[in-house]
Amino acid sequence: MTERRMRSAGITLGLTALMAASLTGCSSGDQPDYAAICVDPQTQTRTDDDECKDEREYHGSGAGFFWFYMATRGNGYVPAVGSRYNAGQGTYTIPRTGSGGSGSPTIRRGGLDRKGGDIGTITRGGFGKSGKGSSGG
Amino acid sequence: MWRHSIKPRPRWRDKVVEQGLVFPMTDLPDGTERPYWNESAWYEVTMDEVLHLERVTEELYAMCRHAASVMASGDRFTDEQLGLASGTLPLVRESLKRDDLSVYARFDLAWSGAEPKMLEINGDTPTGLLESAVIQWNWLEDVFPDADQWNSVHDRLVKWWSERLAEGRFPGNEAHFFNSAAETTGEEAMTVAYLRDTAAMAGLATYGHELEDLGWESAQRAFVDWGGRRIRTAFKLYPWEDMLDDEFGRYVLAGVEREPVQWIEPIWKTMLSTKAILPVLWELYPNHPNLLPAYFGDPGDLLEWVAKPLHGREGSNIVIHTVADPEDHVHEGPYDTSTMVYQEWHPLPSYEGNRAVIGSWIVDGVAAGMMVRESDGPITDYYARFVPHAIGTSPRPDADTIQTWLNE
Repeated sequence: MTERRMRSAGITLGLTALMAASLTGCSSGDQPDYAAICVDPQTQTRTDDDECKDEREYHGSGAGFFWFYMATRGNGYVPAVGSRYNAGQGTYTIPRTGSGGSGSPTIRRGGLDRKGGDIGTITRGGFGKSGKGSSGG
Repeated sequence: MWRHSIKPRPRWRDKVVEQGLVFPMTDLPDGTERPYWNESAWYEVTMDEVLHLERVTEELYAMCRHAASVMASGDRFTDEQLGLASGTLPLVRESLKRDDLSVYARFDLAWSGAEPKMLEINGDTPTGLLESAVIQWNWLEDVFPDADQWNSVHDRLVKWWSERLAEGRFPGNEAHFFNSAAETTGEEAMTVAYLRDTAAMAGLATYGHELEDLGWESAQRAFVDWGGRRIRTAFKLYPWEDMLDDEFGRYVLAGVEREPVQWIEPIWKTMLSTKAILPVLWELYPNHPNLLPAYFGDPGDLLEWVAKPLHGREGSNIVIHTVADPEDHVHEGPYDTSTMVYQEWHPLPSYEGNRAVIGSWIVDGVAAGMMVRESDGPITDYYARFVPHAIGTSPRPDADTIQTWLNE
């Protein structure tokens, strides 16, 4: 009786084929284009990120908690949790087009300082500098 | 095992690129190119041979896991001796204790028909995966549709993600996939994209970009992706010994992450990607039929040996010392050669001048398939060619049999 284990069927690989077709990676700026805080639109106050479990959009009615997207360019000021936010400074709709007009914008949901203040900065480039460019083996 | 010549499929080059292989050809130093994917030949193995290789592969992997815990124990090596950033070994011990998720590894075996000999294990960043799992399988479908192949790599990868997902092992049911921008051939991007595909097939949400764009959010004490999304599970094809030398490696070493990223492969795999494991295995399992004698730092009693740098890859910086040749054969490369591991010289079998090495895959601790690479010279290096294989003696099993094997 044989014990060998065989693979079954042909496969279609979306990303892998795409990679081969384009041979190019993507790139992006250092900052996300939008940062989202979790809000209660009925009281117009910021709430804990944990309340926003999904990416449902607020369409002007209904109870619940929703992400509120704010552009990070310019003065990215966010209120503290429990404080009121200015509905004119952002959008409840997931931003679809990039600020530069090319492709989808990068979005960061949650994780902003609970005490409010400037939208936080993120350090980048801390991995990949010392590598010898030769993984595999 | 036998080597057979065969006429390549018409349009083979377009076909393998369409299936995801970004480099069907290898550029040679003289400006010409030759196939990396070489289907002008194929290797035939028998079912008995496959069964033996499977058994050896699984036994060697269990031995390697044991060796990893011995190496990290703190008595055997210091971080410095292993060429690792200070503080690595304690993290390795914790990682082993937690039994961190690990998906795959690849052995390189020299095999002349009797007992295979372990040349090394690539436990952290093995490549050749897409070629093994997908390209050679599709070749079999086209060329020998009724024959079989030792190859369950793809199914086992998808199964691994699916089962861990069902167990709730991926917070948010998602994973990130990173490739380094410094690797410019596309090999790393291709392999990472393939792993990402297998995770997506299993139902995970996947995200990915270049490793260099990964961010550190100081207020959250968390690694974030380029959109600011917190990274919870991440696959990388970038060596741990380099990660820990990087600026962000300090955060990992210092344990400052609020909820550490679940890295795949995990940090304990550093023990399986250093050549230092070879002498440890020989100490633990002396005269094991599938091991070659190996020593740390000096050749010991070996008359003929290969010296390998601790963290070398692709055959770089290797030195071969044989009795017949008055001059050592030195392979240039970028790696630190201050500490070498000496392994008994065991030449690869030659098939009409082609020196063949077996790559034997482990997925989730189970032997999953093989790849054959052949070279002109004694070292399997960057110029090695991937040649597909088939099992000559057995017809393809039916669907029920396959499912039974996968569930074993």
